[in-house]
Amino acid sequence: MRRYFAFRATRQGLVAIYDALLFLMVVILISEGMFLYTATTAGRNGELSDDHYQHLADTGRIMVEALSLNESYPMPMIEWSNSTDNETRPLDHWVAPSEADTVQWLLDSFVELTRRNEDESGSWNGTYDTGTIMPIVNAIFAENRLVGTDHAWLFLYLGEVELFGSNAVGSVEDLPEDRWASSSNYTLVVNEPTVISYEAELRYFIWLQ
Amino acid sequence: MRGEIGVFEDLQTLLVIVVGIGILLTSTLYNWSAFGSVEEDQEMFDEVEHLVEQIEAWDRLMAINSYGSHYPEFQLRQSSLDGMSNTDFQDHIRSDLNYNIIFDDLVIPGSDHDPESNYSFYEFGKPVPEGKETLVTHIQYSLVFEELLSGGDYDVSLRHACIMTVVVWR
Repeated sequence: MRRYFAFRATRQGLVAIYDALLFLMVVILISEGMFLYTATTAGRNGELSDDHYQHLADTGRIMVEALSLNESYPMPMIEWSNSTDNETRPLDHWVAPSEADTVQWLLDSFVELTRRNEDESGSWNGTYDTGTIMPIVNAIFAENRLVGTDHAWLFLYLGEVELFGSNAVGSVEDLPEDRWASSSNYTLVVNEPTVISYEAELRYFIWLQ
Repeated sequence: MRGEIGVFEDLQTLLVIVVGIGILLTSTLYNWSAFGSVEEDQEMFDEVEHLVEQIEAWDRLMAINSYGSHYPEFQLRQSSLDGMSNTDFQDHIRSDLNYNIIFDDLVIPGSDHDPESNYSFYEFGKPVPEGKETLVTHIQYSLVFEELLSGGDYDVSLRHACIMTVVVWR
């Protein structure tokens, strides 16, 4: 009888140890689960958020749009011509800058002169050669690339897409999938007898090298 | 030991469980220590973002248009940078970590640095120490110069490309 009780006591002690170990294992497994959850939500090895890279794209676009022409990139000369006459003048003669001759104004002017070229009312009595504007915009964008990134920009106007400012890619299809974009609207609304919209968009891309 | 004990068969099973718990425990401790270092790294990146947010929210650094109002999009006001002391800057731009911030005018080369008129760069914060782990980030802004005209308006046609370099360390 004494031996029987001794065996019972040993057995109960082992059961208690087993149960305690089982409980510990459950706690560790829960802890592992928490680690896996937090590790996937915090990113690896510390990194700037996607929002930050989006911010870099936005500030890059805002900066280049705000830059004014300088000695390296002077005012483009624009030729106006019709069947009998022609005249070449600086761009600010044809389209007055609002407060500064910025890149933003260059793009606004491009849209405005293209609109005049397509105006069928004859108000402008000729066409403007806008071919000197975009190379300057292109050069200023290409010159102001952020360290550690590559970039390209698109100008979409009247269904046409132009890719500029990049040595890394030559077409829209070549743009990398991991990239950030920032856009500006250059839509021009003309209140003629019927409202006419000239939709244009500047889309700026950056990606990490 | 013979017979069923708790949910286990014998001491061999107990040994397997103990070793298993040991492996799990070691793995957990390693993972949490690795995650702790990731969090420390992330703290520096978060602090850079915090500094940038403070700078862009400070109206004194915002450029004004020709009528004296702020632009809706952030551009740097050169005259504010030009006359600002390091103490004034650090009183407004605060961080739990150490920082050094440089606004470098990319149009005026460093060799043409002229303290009497236009600076080519504006530096604030503490000097960057050698041998410390630092995080460096660059952001582009346009630097708008202004000139008060006789009618009360401003000539803001002069603008330079500017790069802001933010360095943080513990």
